[in-house]
Amino acid sequence: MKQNRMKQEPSAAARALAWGSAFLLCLLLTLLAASLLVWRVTASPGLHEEIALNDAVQRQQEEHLEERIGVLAAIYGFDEAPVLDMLRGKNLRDLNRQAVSWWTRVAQDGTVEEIPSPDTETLTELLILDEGFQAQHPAETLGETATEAAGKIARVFLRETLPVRTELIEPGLKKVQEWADLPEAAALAHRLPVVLALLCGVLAGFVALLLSRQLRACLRWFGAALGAAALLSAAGLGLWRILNVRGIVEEANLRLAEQIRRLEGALLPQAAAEILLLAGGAALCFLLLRKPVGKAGQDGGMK
Amino acid sequence: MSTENKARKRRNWPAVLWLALPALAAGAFAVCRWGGTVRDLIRVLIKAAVTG
Repeated sequence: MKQNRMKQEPSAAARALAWGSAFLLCLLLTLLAASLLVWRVTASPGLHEEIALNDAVQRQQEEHLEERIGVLAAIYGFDEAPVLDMLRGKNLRDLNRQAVSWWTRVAQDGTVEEIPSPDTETLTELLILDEGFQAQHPAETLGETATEAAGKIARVFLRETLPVRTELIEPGLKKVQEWADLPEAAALAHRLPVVLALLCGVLAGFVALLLSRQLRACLRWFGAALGAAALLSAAGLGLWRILNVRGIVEEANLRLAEQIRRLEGALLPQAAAEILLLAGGAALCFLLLRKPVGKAGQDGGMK
Repeated sequence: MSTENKARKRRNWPAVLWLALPALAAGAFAVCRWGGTVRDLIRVLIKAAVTG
């Protein structure tokens, strides 16, 4: 008697509700795929370090540094070669590493630490000892001017590795901390894929219940939800290309745009794999449905 | 394979479209309606936050 009730055809209302739930399921699956990409961006400092320490990126940063320090050298009259020797190579790599560690800690744990700053004292000493600098500035203001010039050099150096307006970011983050618990928000953001996966599971169960647990009908709607999520994810990827965020960044900062290009390149295989996985899930469900009645499980729910 | 099974096989793939099309249509409408504004907003935010 009970079994017979289970095998009853679902009502039109139940089918409509199942469609709504399957629709929600496909949206959640798409969000899950996107959240996995965001999770990789925020939870893998190694990936960002690899990009920031890439030889081509470093070379671009050094070339831009030469250009900027050249302008400062012309204004303050110091010899740019020893200053550049101090900033290039290992020091640039170290500052890149510190900058990556600073912002990934903000994204990962919500911990806002002091923004890394280059050593200005050594730079000031170097400028005071520079003959050209000494010749251009009076002895009584030499120290003060050297400190000012060293500060500007340090800012140029920092902006190569952390190309955001720190004077805006620092107070902005402090303001955010006043309104929200950043570590808690970061932890929640990291749990988002798991939460979404659980919600997908609950919705799938709900769809199964609505369809009176008829295997064929469930397979059809699960397959449809997975296939639709694959289509939506592919459309989302296309939208990202059309939006062309890298092109917008390129207008502001070429070196940062290059880093974004490398990040996109690193994330593209994952995005493609997620879409293929969703499409594969849909294909598997539909392949199981191709089995003749009586071999793929219980009948029903397909009319 | 029975005629019923063939019919069932044909009806599977359109089910994907039944779910995807409303979302794609809503997305396309949103992109046409607010896409430019969103892009401009992103541009303003990036220009404000990123140094040259």
